[in-house]
Amino acid sequence: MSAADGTVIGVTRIEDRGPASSKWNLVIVSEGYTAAQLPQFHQHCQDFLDHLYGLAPFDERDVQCAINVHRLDVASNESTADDPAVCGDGDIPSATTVATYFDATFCGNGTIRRLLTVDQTLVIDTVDDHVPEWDQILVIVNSTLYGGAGGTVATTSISGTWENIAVHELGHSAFGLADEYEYYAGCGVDTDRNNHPAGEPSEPNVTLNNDPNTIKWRTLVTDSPMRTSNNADCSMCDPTANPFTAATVGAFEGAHYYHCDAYRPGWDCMMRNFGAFCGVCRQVIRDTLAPFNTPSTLNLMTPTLSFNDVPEGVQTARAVVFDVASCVDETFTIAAGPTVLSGPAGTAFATPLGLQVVSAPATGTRQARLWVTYTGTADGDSATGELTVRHDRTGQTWTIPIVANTVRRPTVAVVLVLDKSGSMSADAGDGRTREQVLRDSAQPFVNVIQADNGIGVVAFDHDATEVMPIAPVGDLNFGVGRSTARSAVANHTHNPAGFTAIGDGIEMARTMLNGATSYDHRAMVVLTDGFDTDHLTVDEVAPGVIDQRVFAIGLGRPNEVKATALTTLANGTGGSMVVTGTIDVDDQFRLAKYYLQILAGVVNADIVTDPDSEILPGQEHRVPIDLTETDIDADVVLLPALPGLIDFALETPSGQVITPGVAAGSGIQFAQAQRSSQYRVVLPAFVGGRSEGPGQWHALMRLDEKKWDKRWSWLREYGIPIESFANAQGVKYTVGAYSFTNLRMRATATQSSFVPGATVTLRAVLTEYGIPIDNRAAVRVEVVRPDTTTAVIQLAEIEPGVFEATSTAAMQGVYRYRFIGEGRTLRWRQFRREYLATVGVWVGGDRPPDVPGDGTPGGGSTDWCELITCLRRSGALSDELVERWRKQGVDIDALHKCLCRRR
Amino acid sequence: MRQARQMDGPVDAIRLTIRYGGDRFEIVKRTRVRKVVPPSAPLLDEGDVEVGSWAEVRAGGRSVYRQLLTDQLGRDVEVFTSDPDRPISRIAVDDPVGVFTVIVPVLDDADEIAIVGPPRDAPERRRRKAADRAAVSDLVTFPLRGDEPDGAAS
Ligand SMILES: [Zn+2]
Repeated sequence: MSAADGTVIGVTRIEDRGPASSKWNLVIVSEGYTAAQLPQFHQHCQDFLDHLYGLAPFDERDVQCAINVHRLDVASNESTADDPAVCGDGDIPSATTVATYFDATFCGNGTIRRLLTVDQTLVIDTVDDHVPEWDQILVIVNSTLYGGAGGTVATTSISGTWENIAVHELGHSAFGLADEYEYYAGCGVDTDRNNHPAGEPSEPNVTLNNDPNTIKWRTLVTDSPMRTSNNADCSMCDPTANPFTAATVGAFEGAHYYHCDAYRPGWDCMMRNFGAFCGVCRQVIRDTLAPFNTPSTLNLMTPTLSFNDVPEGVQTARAVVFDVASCVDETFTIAAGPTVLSGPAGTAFATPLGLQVVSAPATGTRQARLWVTYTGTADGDSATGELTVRHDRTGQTWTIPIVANTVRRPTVAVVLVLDKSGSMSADAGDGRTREQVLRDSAQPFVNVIQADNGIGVVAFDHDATEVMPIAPVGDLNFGVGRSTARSAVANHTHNPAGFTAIGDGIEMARTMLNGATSYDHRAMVVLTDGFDTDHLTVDEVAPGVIDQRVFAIGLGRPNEVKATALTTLANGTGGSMVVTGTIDVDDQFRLAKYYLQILAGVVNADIVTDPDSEILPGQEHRVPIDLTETDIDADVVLLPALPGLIDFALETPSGQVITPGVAAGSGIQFAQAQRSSQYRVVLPAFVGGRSEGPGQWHALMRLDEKKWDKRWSWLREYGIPIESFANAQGVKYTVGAYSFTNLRMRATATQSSFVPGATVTLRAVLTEYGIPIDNRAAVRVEVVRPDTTTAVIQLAEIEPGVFEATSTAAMQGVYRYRFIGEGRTLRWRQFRREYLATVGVWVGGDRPPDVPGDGTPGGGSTDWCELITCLRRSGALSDELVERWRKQGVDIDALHKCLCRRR
Repeated sequence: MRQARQMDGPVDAIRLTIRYGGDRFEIVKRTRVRKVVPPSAPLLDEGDVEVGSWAEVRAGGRSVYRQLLTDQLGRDVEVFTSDPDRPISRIAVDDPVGVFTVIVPVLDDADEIAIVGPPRDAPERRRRKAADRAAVSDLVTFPLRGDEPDGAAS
């Protein structure tokens, strides 16, 4: 019956108030529990702690903060404890012998059955191995027989009021408390316990001295004069009931095993009769544990809350921050405010996360945050306010001033830089020419961009042309800048004799943007279908020189569009690069969606949803759009493959349907253009006398059968059944929702190289009012590989609000990654965010950039390249000739690319 | 009586595991540990009289740290029963044997630890009759030297 009879499983810190070296460590050890019974032991530990922490003074913060509790799981081969057949005290034992780890036995000294002992040195050795800093050991023996024993290794069975027995024993061994009962073997049993012998007991809770001026607990006496009692008959226990209140601390005769001449401080006590600890015992426990309790500290880290330069209509959050070092939950409450002290009408401070924060114990210093929001009013406004925060445990309060000001919502000047080299006349892959795809796709960008921004257009081949200077966009339907830009895009045509000098286009856009100083931000969107075949090249406009954000779209396969240099340039300026790959019939909106995504990036909006579909005659589609309290406004944009056939409406969360006619009176704007239809909703909107704000909106699309029949009536005239005509099955469309929002997803697909086998790091960062979205969201990425196979990658939340995964781009071509972030806002409303990223890899993608010749012999390129460059530059090959050759099947621009591509 | 010097934070301490049988005491384990130790009970000077059991660290014969060993030296045992009228009672033990531990700080000038208590030669019920005898005395003393290896028996 020993250590051979079981296994030490291990130790668990079930109350952790700090390092073991600084705390008073109670170790609770299992004995007589089999491995299968350990869950019961865990419950018994919890029962004990629940009981202990319900008893004063153990219910006090400072006492609890001093105590670590460790649970040492030891599995015995058999359960319960030995109960020897013969014991000296006349009790009738069960004559049990079991194999347990610490060899617990009743009748531990051979004469007293209720004395429950264990192999103490084995217990000490075992605990020393696991918690060398232990202060008290409590062995719980898995037996329902009454029993226990005191000492620094105390034992208890799990009979009756065993928790009280254990607490009483701790009173002796851990806190040096004496028994306060006035008998030895029992009242009516003892014959030799009349008068306490001389000699003051060393324990703090019993005394022979009842002089109120000198009694050792005089500072704790509750009444004046001190309450006392005397035992009228010293031959017996005092039979009177407590004449005082329970909490009275005085001097009551009968204590420390004697009827008279010894005094106890309370009538009842844990150390007398399992009552509540008397006032003196409580103080002794507090004093003993005080050195184990490091004082807590609270420091306000934000004496002022500043909302600096908040854009109009934008809600911004700031936190009142406390540094907290404490072993218990610390609760901070906004006791007053936040109140507006000054500011224009409409100024409001709010508390999106409520008025209270509970800071849970942690090792070291932690921070408690109370969030306050301010929503920008009008440009130039400023406001002040204050709030009062209370620390609930101490009642300490802090009044914190708030200062805020509003600035104009940032505007952006954006230049569309469009490729017009000869190769733009080539087929894009879906039956349209590249320039047609470009016209179709850039149009929605111009239609959707917000009124207070600026727009300009540059076209380039081997030289750059300012097609449209930067001008204010203006009204959603009739803005002058918008109209001019629409025309510029609609009239964009290739130059059959044009080479490609992307750097020239970038340079011109840069010059234009540098002059657009009235805008807060500047960006350019560069679209190209090919390699530089002339100066300046992309590589010649170093990222350091370009101080505006560059977004780049490669129209074509990555090895055709100089993805390496454009990616480097875009990333270096805070923009991004996408490569379309070959456009196919089933994915004709791809470029338009990239343009709109770039627009969202340019104006700091997020994509709420962005699905593609095809609608058949007579069908109605409902696409859900989750808008939340974080969204300031939203553009719901429909891009149809065929204009004018789809009826487009918006349904509010309460079910009201907004059509273009209804929109006019509701403050919701509707706009229709050749390539897009759009609703612009500022939240909340007011429709039919109701406020329509956060919730699930729907985009409604219906394909009218009559319009449809009319559209294809010519087919019937020729006797062709509509069904047999591929394009006449239905209308493909995409509907997107773009929100200017406080809930943002920033997604990136970063490639380790441009060759097949590159590692792609997919990363998304989700924030709400700038605060990481912690454990409330999930992000997945739908991957379309170059061979059109698909996969879904779940990103892991590697830190609060940061999601990451890596993938391999093994095949040559374009990988498309559609990030989808879904979760709950702070107010537990469902949200969704999307983002499209691409990565292109190709064999040779790691080669150094190509450099076109400079037109002089020996300039570094092949002679053929030099020759054609020279002929073009010198004018020896006229545009007319080049165009004539093209018509006859010789594409000089393509030839030039072929010759100059590789060194 | 006087108050002991307060110690802030973890200190070097010694844990002694002491086995007793009758009037014999032996250290069965001695380990060093760095931790906060419980505060000292008030220290006794010449002439201070208390009755009880305690461990006392001494420097040159003078008490510098004291920890009560209430109910730990096994001269009688406390017994708990299911009888509500007598939930706790005591039974004397004629031949006490057992183990206790005490943890004390390592103090620069300390040279000795004493286990103090009522004389061990008589069980409790006989001892009371000899009320004129010294109430407490050193039951055993052990030298405290800082250079002893951890875990060595003394
Ligand atoms: Zn007791």
